[in-house]
Amino acid sequence: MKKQNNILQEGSVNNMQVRKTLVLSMQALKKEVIDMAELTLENIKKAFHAFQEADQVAARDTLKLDDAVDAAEEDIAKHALQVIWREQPVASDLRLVTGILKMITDIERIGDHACDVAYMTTNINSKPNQHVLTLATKLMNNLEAMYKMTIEALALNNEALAQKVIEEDEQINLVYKEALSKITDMIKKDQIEAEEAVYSLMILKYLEKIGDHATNIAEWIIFTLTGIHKKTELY
Amino acid sequence: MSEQTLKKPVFQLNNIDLFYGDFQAIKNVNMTINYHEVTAFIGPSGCGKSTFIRILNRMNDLIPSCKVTGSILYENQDAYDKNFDVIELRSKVGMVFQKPNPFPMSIYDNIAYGPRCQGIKDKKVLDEIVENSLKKAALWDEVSDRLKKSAMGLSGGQQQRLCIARTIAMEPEVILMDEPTSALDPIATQKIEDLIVELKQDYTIVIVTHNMQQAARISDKTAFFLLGELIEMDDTNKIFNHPKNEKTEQYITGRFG
Repeated sequence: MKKQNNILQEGSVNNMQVRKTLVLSMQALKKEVIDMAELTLENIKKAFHAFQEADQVAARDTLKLDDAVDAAEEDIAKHALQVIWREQPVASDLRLVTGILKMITDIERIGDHACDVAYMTTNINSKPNQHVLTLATKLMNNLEAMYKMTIEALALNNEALAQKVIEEDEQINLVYKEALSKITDMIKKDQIEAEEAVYSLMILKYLEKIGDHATNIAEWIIFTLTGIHKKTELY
Repeated sequence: MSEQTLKKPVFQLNNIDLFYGDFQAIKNVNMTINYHEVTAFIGPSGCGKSTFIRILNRMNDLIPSCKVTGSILYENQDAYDKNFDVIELRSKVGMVFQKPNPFPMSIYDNIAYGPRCQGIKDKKVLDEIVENSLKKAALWDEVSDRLKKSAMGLSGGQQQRLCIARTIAMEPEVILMDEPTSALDPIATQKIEDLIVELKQDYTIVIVTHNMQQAARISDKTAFFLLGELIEMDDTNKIFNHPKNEKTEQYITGRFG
């Protein structure tokens, strides 16, 4: 607002007026995306907690939460299209609306993967093996920090933070590989039940995939700020 | 369009200042306008875009208190040199205005007026000029059976295309358009926009518009003026996707205007 005021004070241009409807619509749209992302973050945490505790009831409850995520995706898509046909946004507004339309696909998939973790947990009858739990918790902690950073980058229009998210995915991949190697080793040494090994590996893979989707979101955040997606100028 | 003229400048303007008496309406503007491109001037009312477009064919000469300084090269010649032929400049750099202004005479005579002033009397030649000009202005099919009828009986959109045809009859290099569709309905506007895109094959077009979506639809380059300054000029694609200047961004996104 400070920069706008400077321009407004510069001269004698008449009838200067901010497009309030557009500005408010854009703010509302962005808030909806942040809320949707925070909802999926909560779902991941609930699903993972159910896995840690082998709590099948909590896992089943988490599965029910995905409907709200799907509804949010549709609402946001509808509102984004309304902004496009009503306001015909350009420049940063156009980049944000199109970026949001891409981001919500990844956020919705993150919601699905939270469900996947919960669903796998409904098949696990006892608390996970301690080695598996240690590695999974490490992965989850990294992932939670990374996804929070993604949401913060979006809220604050922070390109550097979005770039850091992309870099963090490497760390997630390393922890996943470490866990994969450990569980493979345990299978070979007959230190883990076959069923538990399979479900645990799948849960770890879903968490790793969430990291990939967070990376995609970060790439779209950078696009909304710079017009560049990965290395391509999308105009 | 030949490869030789592609992306070559038809106008090169350097350090342009324009004063109406003591008031400076244009401040140190530098600009290049290329052959066979559509260049759009955008900006809030009073920013100088109409004043600036009139520099290009020296329309401001007609205002006694107006003083222009700087270098204005049209096809590498100083357009403001005292020996420069202004009449020739205005035939090569035609102009279409906001409100259609057909002469109170027949459709045919409107188009033939300019060529007749240039001394063309041969009816066959004039017929050919009238037909070609109306065809290029996408009006021939609508008026070919009533060329001798008054131009005043045409619709607003047809009158504006007639004015474009009248300009084309002079075989210009550049056509200046000062808000050519602001008095027209959406369908007539669409026809003029389609025409502009067609015409750039043969002519260079400079258009002043308040309609930013129009600038986005039809122009290759967009220049944003504010308070007499050229804030930013770039490919239209870049201006409407990722302008470099904060003021341009704020204007086109409606943060002020």
